[in-house]
Amino acid sequence: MRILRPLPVLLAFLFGALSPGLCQTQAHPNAFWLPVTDAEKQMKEPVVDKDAGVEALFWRVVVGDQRRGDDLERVLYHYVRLKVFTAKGKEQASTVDIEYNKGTYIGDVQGRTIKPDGTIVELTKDAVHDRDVVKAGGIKRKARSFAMPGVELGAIVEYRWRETRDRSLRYMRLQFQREFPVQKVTYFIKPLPRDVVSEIMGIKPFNFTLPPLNEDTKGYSSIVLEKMPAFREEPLMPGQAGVRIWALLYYSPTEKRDPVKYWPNVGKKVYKELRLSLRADSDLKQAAAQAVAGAAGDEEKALRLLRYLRANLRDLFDPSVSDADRLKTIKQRQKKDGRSVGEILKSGVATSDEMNLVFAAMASQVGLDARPALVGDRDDILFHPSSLDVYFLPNVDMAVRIGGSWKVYDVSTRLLPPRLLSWREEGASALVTDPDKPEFISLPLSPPEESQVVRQAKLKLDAEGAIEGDIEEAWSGHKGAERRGDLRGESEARQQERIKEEVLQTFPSAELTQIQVEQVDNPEEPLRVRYHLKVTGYAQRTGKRLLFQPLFFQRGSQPLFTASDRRYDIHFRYAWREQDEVAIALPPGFELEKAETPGDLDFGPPGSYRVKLVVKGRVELSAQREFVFGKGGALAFGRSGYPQIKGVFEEIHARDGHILALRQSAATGAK
Amino acid sequence: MRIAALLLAAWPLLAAEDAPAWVREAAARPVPSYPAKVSLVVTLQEESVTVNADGSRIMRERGALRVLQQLSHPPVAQRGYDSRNGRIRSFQGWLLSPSGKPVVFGKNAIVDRSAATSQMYDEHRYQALNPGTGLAPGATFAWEVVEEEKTIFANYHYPFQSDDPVLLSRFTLTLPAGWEVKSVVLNHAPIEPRVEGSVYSWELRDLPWIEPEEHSPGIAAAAPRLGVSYFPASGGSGLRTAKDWGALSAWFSELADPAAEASAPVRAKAAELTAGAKTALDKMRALAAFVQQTNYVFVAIDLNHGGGFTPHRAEQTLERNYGDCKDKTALMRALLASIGVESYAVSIYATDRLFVRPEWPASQFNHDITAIRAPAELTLPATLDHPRLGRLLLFDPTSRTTPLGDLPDHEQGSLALVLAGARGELVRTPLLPPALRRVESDVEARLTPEGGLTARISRRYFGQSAGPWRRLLLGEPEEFKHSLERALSRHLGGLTLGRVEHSDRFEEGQLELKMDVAVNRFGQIMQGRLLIVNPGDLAPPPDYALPAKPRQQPVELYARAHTDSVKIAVPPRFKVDELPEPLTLESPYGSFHARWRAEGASVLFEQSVEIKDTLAPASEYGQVREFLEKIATGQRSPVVLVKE
Repeated sequence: MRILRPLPVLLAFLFGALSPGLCQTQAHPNAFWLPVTDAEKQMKEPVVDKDAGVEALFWRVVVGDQRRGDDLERVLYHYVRLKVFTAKGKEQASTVDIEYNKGTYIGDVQGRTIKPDGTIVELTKDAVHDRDVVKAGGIKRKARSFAMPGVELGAIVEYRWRETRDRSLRYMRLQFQREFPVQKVTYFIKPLPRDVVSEIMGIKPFNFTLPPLNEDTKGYSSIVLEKMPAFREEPLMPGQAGVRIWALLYYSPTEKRDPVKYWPNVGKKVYKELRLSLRADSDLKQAAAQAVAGAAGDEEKALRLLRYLRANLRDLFDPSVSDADRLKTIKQRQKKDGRSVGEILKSGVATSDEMNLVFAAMASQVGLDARPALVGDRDDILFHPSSLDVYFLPNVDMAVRIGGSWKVYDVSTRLLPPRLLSWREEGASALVTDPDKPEFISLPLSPPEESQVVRQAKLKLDAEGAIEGDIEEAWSGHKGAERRGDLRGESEARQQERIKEEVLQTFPSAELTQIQVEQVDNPEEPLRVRYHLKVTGYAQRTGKRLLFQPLFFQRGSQPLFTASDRRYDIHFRYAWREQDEVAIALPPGFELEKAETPGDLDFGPPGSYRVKLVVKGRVELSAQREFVFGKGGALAFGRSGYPQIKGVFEEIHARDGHILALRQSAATGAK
Repeated sequence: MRIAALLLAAWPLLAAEDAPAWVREAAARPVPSYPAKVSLVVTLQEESVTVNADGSRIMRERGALRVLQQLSHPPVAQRGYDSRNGRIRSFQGWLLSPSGKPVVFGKNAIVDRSAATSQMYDEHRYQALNPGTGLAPGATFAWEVVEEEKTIFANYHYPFQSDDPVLLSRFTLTLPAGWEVKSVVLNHAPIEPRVEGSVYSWELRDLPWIEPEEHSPGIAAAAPRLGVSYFPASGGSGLRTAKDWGALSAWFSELADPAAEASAPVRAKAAELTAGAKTALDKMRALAAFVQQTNYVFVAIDLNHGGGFTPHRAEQTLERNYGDCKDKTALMRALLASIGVESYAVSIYATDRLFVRPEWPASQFNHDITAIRAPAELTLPATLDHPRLGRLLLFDPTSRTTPLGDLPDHEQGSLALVLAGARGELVRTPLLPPALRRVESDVEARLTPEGGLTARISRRYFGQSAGPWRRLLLGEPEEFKHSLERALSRHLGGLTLGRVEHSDRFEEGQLELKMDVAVNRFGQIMQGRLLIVNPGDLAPPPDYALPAKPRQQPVELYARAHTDSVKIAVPPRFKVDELPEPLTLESPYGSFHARWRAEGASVLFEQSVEIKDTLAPASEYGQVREFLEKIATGQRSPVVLVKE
């Protein structure tokens, strides 16, 4: 890697000046095994989590950036000491697998196990294995693996290794939470020497308060956090970056960033840089003109361009792109000047940011005011303008001025209608670049009506409890995108088979015929599924009654939340609406036994649940259900509200399972 | 839009060359009509193995497939190889568009992957060619791979197809002059090879599509397969050959036995472990428990020279406290030897009872377990009485959830090779009766007038039925609790799990779970006077459900049994209005008995379910499905209570 920049000014380490020249010849803090204390040997119970099977007594990482010849490198010395408490913990502690890519080297792996009786078993070199996980076209992903010897209950297991990186040093995430609890996490950090770069290193904490940094005499500053619980995932949790304890290590220019000027400057700079790459060749100009021919108005032009690009550019990671084409694209992108928009369009394969660049280039050719927008990610770091670094706006979309305001498009989200962005970008901040006045806008959260599931069933119930009839479903917006993701690219027969398999999960006895799946590849229309269905045993026969669930589509549904406790906040991805209409012709000779509705449910601003049951002429039951969630952007709920949220969904689940009874009418008598 | 992280992949080469004649020929082969679900047909599958005088061999694989339907994921041509003792010499690919226009893939389009997934290290690797786009219906994708390897094995396994239909499948073996060959065709009528000099060729045509189906035996039991073994005319080849199971046992015993030596450290450990044990069985259990706790770590090295059958020395495994299945078996045997108990290593196929076939004496195995010479008075279930080897107690030290005396489900009723030197034989492992893996549940519950329910649920898991819970109990308590909540909520809806107790009498093969549950809406109140409840929802859920659709493959069911008793106290002022009629089902696949009774102020539901180990032909699918559906429906029969 090249040196970032020759030294124009003296560096200042963000959290304290360093003595230049230190540590070049001195041992780093992880050079030796640290003494094992009697307290560690005698420890019988975990400290951080009483249920933990294994706990790290410490996890130390020494991060040192340094110059090597004309290049820069980052060297990380990892040192982990574990204590084993249970059989599961023994399993967790016994093997280590370190995967790494080109540009990273793993070396100096050492390990040992201190048994409860004090015996020390060393990790031997022949127990450390290297393998190329995958290699292709000169690129390799590698792994270094080892099994720790002599691991048993009560043992102390410790290992350390050196990791050298010669790729970009600008950003690195320092993780403090691991797969097991850690009593003490320490990062020792030493930035690049002052004579090497003109930038300074900074640390930004997430989900914790940065403690005072300790500076030692060897030039390292350290961050120490204690009692770190293990990180575990939960359903519908915020993005990991929003809950996990971590810190961003980064370099930035020495001059202090002015919150008032920083983002406008970024907006101008990005605009200028990307405008340069939007130079269209004649083919692109011609393609743009053809794509918008006859379009009425700016919005129609933008939509036509977007449709054109979705039809003519495949995503780099689409399964239909061969490994060969993929690598060819990657290598072209690695050229000094990247690929021109004309080359991108011609290749037919693009990354998502490239797609948007081509979109902007074509938009400019047809008279649209279009420019790149830097967009945050709701599933990663929640952006705030006070975070003065483009790292926090990781996505590039395109903003088009329509009717005096900015409308943001993303060509790459091809499973969604053009008016919708990925749920990760909905509700996020976007910096619309401009040569003069860049501006922040908030991207809207789509309302429930944009993501609907509308279902209809016309069914006939017979006296034996079998049900038969026609089903029609329409899935739109984000709901449609999820469904499309499952079906896209499959042959018609395979799509029908998928539908069949899904229904059979709920009704193993179901017979499905006349299955139709439509609009899988057209997200501008709801995805439609139709089929004819026959299910035996839908209603249960008792001596004199037939019991059945009128809300057909909810049969076999599971409660959304089952865990009694909750670690993190609850974040739904998007708002949605379900609307069901079920008509059930009742079997002759039966009549409903005082049918009751399960009742409506209002749960405040987030949404509502409505059920209406109507008997028509004693021979047909009509069941209508509407469930709306996420109204007004109410998608995020604090952990303390978990019992209420869980309760709402349990109540809905219970009402969805509402049973009605049919009784043989007096005229037909008992069977 | 996400700025893409760059993953790695192969690079191109698309060159304007033509495809070879055999590709054109395969592409031109007429394709019959298949069901609409069939996405592709293999027009040619061919493998030619040339064995050199030193036993090394060169394998040339050719394949061609025609795309019939749009594919969501392109098929990938893939070949595994031993990276220590072999290599892929060449890998080429061609794509013919429906119009016949060729695209040629260069060698740089090939991706090379490690086969290691969960294992620590594996010298086995794969090379793969992903053709990506262009696979429109009508297109042909073809490839040719040449692999070379040095090996001491003198047999070869060739599956004539996977689940895709195949028009022409051919295997050709070229041997040095004078060598002998034996072959067996599995899952198909015998085929005689065409012989020209020392070239042998087996061929099948028009192989149908094998649809993957629920609860069917694996593809290895359905697709035609060829097993060949060859024998040098004289020594010097370096090959190890085995004409019968005894010979194979003798060879594998040579590899396995030295590691099972009871060295001084092993003897000392055995003495320490058995110090407090009074009986022979107690001693064996103590040793078994120790080997089971040894960490499982798999390192696959030098496979073509028998590395897959050569354990580390027992004292090394003891010191490291880790090893794979053969290491654990060797350690177990060494410990047993230390207390004077004889034992053998046993080679078995761990994941498919039907995989190993007796007619082909060759290594068809992927796992090692232990056979302990047991005294006649020992009557644990996982024993077999062999006419020559005596009473053998089979034990899998790799399974941490299976005590001595039991055997993992997939290893029951399977053919396994007991490595007793030249006396070794292929034996059928015991198939344990359903009752030995039964579940007994008792529920005492109380219903509220609004339909809420509180219950004390006790479940006793015997034998293999305890395995899934043991695995969860080995993990974090939080995950165990969440798993219980998920499992119970699936049938009971919203609930609160109260106190949970468990006791594992591991050596006796019994695990008991007791839990307090409060269900928010167990019963539904209707018209303010009727209360509908399904007592069967408090019992463990039905074990099997088969979909209503045409069937091609046999049905394979593993034995299950449970007896359940659910007692629900009826709320005050309610009485029973309707009870389901008792149900009794007897069938070749098992039995089901259920009855509902009013007992004082309670409703009592009792059922017993027994499903036998079954391998039923496809023609019986309807009967099997009906039997299982009746059990599921019966268990969910509602009880109607009415307010007095």
